[in-house]
Amino acid sequence: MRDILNRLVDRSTADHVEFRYHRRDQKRIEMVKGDSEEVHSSTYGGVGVRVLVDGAWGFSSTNRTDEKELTDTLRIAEGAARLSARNKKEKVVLEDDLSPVRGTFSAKVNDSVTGYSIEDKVKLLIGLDREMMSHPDIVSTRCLWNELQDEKVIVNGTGTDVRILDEKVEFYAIAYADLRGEKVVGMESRGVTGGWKDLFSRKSPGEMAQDAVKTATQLLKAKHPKGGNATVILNPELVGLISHEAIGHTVEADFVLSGSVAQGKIGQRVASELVTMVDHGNASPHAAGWTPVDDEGTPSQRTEVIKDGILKEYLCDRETASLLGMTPKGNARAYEYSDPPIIRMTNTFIEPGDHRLEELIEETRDGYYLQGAMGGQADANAEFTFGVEKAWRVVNGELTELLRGVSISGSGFEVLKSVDAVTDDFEFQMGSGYCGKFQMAKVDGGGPHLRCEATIGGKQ
Amino acid sequence: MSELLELGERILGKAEGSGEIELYMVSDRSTDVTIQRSEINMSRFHVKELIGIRVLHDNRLGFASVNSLDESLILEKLDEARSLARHSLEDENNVIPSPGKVSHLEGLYDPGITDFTLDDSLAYAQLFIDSALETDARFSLSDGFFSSHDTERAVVSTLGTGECERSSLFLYMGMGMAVQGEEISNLDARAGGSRDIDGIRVEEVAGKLVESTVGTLGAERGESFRGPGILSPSCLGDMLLSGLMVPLKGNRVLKGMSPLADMVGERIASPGFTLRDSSNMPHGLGNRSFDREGMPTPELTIVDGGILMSHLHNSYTSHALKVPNTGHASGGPRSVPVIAPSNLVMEPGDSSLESMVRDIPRGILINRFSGEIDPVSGNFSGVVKGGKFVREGEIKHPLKNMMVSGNIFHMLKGISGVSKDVRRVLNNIHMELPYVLVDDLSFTSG
Repeated sequence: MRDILNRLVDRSTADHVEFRYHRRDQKRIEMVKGDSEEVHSSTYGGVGVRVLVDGAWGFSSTNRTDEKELTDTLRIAEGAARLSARNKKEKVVLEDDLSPVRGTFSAKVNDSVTGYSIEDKVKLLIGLDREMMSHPDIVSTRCLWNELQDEKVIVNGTGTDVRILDEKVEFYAIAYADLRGEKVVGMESRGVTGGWKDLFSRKSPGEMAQDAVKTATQLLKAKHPKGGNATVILNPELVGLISHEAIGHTVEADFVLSGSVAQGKIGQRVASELVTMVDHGNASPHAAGWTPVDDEGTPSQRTEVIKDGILKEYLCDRETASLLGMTPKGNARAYEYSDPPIIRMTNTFIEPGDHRLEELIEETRDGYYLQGAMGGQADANAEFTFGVEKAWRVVNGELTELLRGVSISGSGFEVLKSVDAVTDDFEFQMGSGYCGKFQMAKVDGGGPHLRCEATIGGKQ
Repeated sequence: MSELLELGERILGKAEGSGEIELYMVSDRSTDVTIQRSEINMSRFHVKELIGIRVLHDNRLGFASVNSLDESLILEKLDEARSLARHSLEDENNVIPSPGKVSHLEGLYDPGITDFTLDDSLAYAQLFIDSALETDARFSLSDGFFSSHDTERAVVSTLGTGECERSSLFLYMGMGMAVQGEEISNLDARAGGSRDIDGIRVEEVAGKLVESTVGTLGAERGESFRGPGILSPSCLGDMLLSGLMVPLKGNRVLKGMSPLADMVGERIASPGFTLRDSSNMPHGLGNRSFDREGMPTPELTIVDGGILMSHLHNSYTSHALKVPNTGHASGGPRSVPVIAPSNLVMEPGDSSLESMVRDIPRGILINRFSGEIDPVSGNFSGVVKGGKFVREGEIKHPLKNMMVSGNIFHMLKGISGVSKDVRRVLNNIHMELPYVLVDDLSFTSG
């Protein structure tokens, strides 16, 4: 395969050419309240070809991998680029200060999930489902297992020739309790790059199922908040979500160039000096957004988006890096072979500070301690809204009543400007989720706990 | 006979062993031109071939899929699906349905698509850009696309199902914001589509997108209160899809996860709320002659005058709940069938948007909702996008930092006005919806 792709790179008449072979084998098992909803195996593989001709992009893809088919696909992509070029006013120029990358990059996998049979995994989910359903307050359950085995080969006109072997796995345990006809949910989930031991390094599957039940039953007794502006302490999952949704998308260079709120703000204070926000595809071998080399062949590097509260860098691909005078650091990603690479985050997080969580809570006179995300959305102007799984009222330094149905919103940069304390702990906690910007991407996010001001949505 | 049907029959003929088999196959040729920063970004051409294989053996279900129509690969995957079936749980409700009486719809395929080239897609994408930028110079089109799809799908099974349909589809979408000095509007997106070339209206969709984003410039903070809201068709569509349609799915009913499980025949909304699912809506983008399992897709009245008439079912949930299959098996070949509507149509009322606004002492016109809706409890909380503050019967100003919360089931019972004007909304599902006035929402200003 690599020989064929290298030959075709040499034969291409395009100004730049990239071939990406990508085969994905997925196994997915879903158990809902005692029934196996899905025991599923899929294979999705082929080659995507992206070319640049006369300053314009063309792309084509094929599920076949013989030389004749790949030659035809290359010609189609070149033809498409030539068509685009007729309408392209601002010609694409690529950042070319890049060294070719060669070699094989393998995910660090402790106890590969391929060593466990489908039968093992189905049995695990059946057992957990039964255990959760045995609690008298639990009326429904859902357990989900999803694993992706990826092989990727990237060969391009800059001399890059890499092979990436990746294993990503996700697990969810969800318990529903019934509150006078209204269901409340407790969810434990984790997603990692790695194997069985990496996935369950923090909690065993049984502990995750028990904790899901515990949360659901705790929330049965919880009330709704009233709402309004408030001091909030965010846990690492919510810190990751704000970093990703509210800030991260606004600093993706394609959105910046379209006029996002981060445009023209490099060098300006956009957050409290306690905040340093980073995106890095190689930040941790087990973070779910592990991306050693991106789909343009750029090795992942640490991008300090915000350093001590000052906006420093945008997330770029080779095209936007050239336009903005920045360095591409591994953010051009494609979900599957039939997708062209676009600017995506990888693992996005805020660096830890020096507070202890206990101190942070003790110092808070009136506020909320928020744990767990239930989905989130954000806008080009950094306005965001996130659902929160559990919220404790904090009064005079103590956690008091538990609340449910809480959401928070605000302007991402305004919220980060209000940060007055950052703890010394750190976790990636967003690995079970995906980002859905035109195409899916496996990402992660996290950080320490931090205290800031935000709007709590509630009942007036 | 189509090539897909022939392939399916050949595979079934070669399949050895016992148990039932269903093959769902899709072949799609598409052109796609993407837009970025108000310019053509990339032209693409794709051919996709996909097959999903369901195997039922002793009431145990296995599923495998592959993106190839190569016979040997399909037979390999068939063996894998059989192996998975052996490890799945026995469930007497697992069924592969017997063939139904399918009436094939007209108007799904425009033969002109065979001559529709990447060059044509490029011209429409450029027209989208030009239309948007000419409408208002403050608008910035961040992303968009124009695509064409020539698709054939087929489902065959060892029980005798053998359905095939070819369709054409032209889709276009733009996403952008208005920028005025330091001020940036909410990001908004508008999508449109057509089954035939003559129905393509990129200028119209581009114009509405610009109007929507520019209209939110000059936004001011509002005040917190409980009161009425007017939901635009786009906002109503978001809420119906995430909040109402989820608990109407047969699988949610079956698993005790639907507050509407025992409500058929009961009032769930005010008398002005009538909702239909139509797989043959005039110019409907979700029109289809048969569902993901090859079953017919008759029109279904879901809510009639506020009374719940039916949930949505596929063969599994209809078998388990002993109710008729409504033909709502959906999804692609890469996963087992799920349940989803075809197109949704809400009956118009007799109000106008203007009269609704006139009747409100203090309220908010909500253009779009960005937030979470819990389909189990019906509770929702999120940000009002493109909202406008209404005071003493007049629209005063656009709003920023305004949150809205409530409960969708209470909200449906509190509908006090439905407009006679309806709009088409495309948000995964194609919908035809009016403006609705709801009585009691909770607004929190940030």
